Amino acid sequence: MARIEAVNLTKRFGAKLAVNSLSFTVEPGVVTGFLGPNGAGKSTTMRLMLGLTHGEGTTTFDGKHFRELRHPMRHVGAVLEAKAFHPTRTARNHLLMLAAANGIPTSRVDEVLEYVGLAEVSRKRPKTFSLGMGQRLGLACALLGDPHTLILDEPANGLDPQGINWLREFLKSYAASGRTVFVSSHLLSEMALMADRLVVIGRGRLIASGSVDEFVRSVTEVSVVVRTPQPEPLLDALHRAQLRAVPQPDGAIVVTGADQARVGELAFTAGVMLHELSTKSATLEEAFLEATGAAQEFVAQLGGEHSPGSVEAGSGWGVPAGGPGAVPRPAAHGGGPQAAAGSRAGVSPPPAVRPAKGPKHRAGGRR
Amino acid sequence: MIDAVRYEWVRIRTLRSTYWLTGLGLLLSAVIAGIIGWVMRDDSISAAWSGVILTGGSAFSPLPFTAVFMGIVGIFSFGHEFRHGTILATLTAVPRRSFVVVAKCLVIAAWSFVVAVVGVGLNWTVGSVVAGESLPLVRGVAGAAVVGFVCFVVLWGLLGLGLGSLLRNVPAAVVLLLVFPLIVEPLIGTLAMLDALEPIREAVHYLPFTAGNAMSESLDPAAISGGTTSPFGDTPSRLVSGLTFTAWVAALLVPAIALFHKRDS
Repeated sequence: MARIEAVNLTKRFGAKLAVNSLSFTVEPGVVTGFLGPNGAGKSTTMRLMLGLTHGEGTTTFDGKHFRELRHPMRHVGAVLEAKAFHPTRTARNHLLMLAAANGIPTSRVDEVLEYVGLAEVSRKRPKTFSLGMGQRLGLACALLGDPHTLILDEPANGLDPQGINWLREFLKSYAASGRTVFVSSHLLSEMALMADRLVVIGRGRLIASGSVDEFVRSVTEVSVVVRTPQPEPLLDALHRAQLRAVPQPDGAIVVTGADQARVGELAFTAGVMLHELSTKSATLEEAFLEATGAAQEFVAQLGGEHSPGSVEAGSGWGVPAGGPGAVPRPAAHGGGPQAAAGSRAGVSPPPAVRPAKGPKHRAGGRR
Repeated sequence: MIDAVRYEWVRIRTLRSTYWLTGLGLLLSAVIAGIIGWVMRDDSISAAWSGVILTGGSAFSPLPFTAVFMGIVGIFSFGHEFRHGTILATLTAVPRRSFVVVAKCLVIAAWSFVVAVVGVGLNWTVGSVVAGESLPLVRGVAGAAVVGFVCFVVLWGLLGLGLGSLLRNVPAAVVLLLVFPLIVEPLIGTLAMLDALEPIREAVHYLPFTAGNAMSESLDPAAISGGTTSPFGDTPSRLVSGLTFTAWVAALLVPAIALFHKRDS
């Protein structure tokens, strides 16, 4: 069971502090997502972890530094850049080169190419590959040594929906076999379906780390949605109970500061008939935007001021002492579906590390 | 370490550019050998002229073909890594940068060595066939010129490797590799003839490519044994010239390797 421990990772680019005393752990057995706004320092952090970028701090994989590993690809598989291949070296030769440095047999090269769906183009040059095919080849590189740890930077970029679905199921099954998966993505909906735990950073600092559900709960506030043909007496009762109740244009009333049972009791006591009484949780996207609002490095100014969300929204959930402030802020959202994170409950990882063949790629037209 | 060498070996032999650069270098060198052999077909070819044919006229050209193309192979060794981002794959497969550097140096040196030896064999074959006689291969100055030529080609390969690592930019490294021996050194040589520069005129012999070219010299006794006065003062021997070129290559490789360790990938 390999665990990643990153301690005090720090990286400066001149006067700019790209990664600031970042510490976190990535546990085996679950998929850990790495989230942060553009320019937050995700890619730099991953490069620091593997020693590709020089900085301060240490990262250990199963207790060892990456550079101490004799055959590193047998321990840690990494994809940090899409299409980082020589354009005229065939996909198979690229993998053979990596295999040669890590004592990996040739048969394994063909195996992983088959697995990621690139067997048919294994002798083609990557310059003819689409971005999605490049991502698949990158994943083949990472899987080559059958490592206990995967570190993937935006692996879903360029993949078609079937490819993303396959990647998600693969990573979940890989983690379920007791291995460690650390994956960054800017696709929050995808991360909500894929990740069990999160490491969230903004401006190079840790904002939060822990399970997805805890993150959403800690950063946002659960609200109760009520529909009634008698809104006035209900609003009076809620306000008398010092609860925040906001009527919505569609006729619903959104109540914060109390759970579903409490709101139901107040309605019953006031003699109000209810047509709907439901709890609404925030989505991961809403929680992410709430947590990282002020931690964006690059903010587009679209017709007005930038929304003043707060980076200091960490609520003590996984936030290190001295980290971002611990004052929870109410969710600023209104409406929206049930928490996307909740839908993860319906996805149980297959038991095997290699549950099934990866989908045959459908990008043969680019050969 | 052996894993890093295996990696580098597969890297160099799975690139098309390695083969066309190697082939082109050998072909053009053999063409020179053939032309000289054809011109001298009616004469008895001495060991000194055999040295010229075997090295493809290396001592006379500011850009000896085999050496230049090995220099470009050397540039590609690091240059392609940064140009195409494969340095990330390299350092995740071989995290110890010192192993990467040593492996690249060993493989480029070995490839250049083999190419130089094959080139000599090819030139000998072409020269012998065209001239209609078996050329002296190891007799007299021919053998020493061949040894100097092989070392010269190996050093060019390492020189290219150092430039590729230092500049991380293939076009810039190639331009520098061509401009210096073609333009800069001849210009310095010309300027050195000015009276005002008379005190440093002798230093022209110790410019990198002037010294390097003297390694495969077989006709000029001054450049072979040294000590003889030339317009540029006392000529260093082949050994001194070889050591001079080696020192220049080392002077480039040391900062290149240091920067490779220091820079982010």
